Amino acid sequence: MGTRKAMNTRDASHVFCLVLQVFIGGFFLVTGVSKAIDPLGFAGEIANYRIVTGWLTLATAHYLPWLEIVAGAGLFVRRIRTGALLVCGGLLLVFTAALVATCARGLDIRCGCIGGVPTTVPLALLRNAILLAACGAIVRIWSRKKH
Amino acid sequence: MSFSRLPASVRQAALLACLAAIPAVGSFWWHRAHRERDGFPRMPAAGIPAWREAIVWVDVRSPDAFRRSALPGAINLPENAWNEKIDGFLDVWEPGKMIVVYGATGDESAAIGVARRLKKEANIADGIMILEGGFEAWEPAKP
Repeated sequence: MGTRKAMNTRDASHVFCLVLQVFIGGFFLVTGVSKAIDPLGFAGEIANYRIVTGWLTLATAHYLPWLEIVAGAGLFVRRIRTGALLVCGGLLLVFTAALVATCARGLDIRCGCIGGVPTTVPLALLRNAILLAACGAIVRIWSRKKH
Repeated sequence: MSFSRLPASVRQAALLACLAAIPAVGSFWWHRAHRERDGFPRMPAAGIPAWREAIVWVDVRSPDAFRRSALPGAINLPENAWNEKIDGFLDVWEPGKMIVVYGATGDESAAIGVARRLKKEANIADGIMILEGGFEAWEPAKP
């Protein structure tokens, strides 16, 4: 009886983990593709943050969408999923820091996280917090499975 | 510390970062080949709202046309008034800020002329683009 209950809990956490992986991976795939098809437009969004300038703006605009795509897809590949989660979490932290820093400098920006879809900063911060919490939940489930 | 001694997640993350660089370099070269002519990348008019005030707009049309209508915050710098107006432009431009040059229409010769002089005579090494289709391409999108 106790064993069956433990198995049910494990199955439920496995399904929950899968849902979170689809949520995070899907988000990064969609945002990555939307930016990769228009890197010049995305470069404009990056330039508005005034963190990187000149050629670095264009280089970031070409690289970042592909990193998001690779990390998002990597979450569905068993052998590299922990690394992919690390990249997703790292990207979310960097995006959040950039949003907070830009707001602190009093710059009027729109998020630009999803190419062409304007998002307000508070909404983007809330979304990032939810995604980071989802990353944390996955780490917790994976570490429990190990032990 | 050797690469193999790093935690597996860090090794995987590094691998993914390298993997992403492959299509990124491809995308960069594709855009260079398709969107860059005469050494200057072309910016489509659809990208104007994204860039907003992050760049300096350089209008190479005549002062009369510029007075009638121009992109918000644009600086008028026609090639035939280069000597009189270049100092005013350099006062406004901050190093590292991207520049987009535009003429009246899709004929980009005037815009290319000014872009070349900005590069050679004003020593602005990179970050100069040309607005595809010129002012005409932006006008229909005006509110």
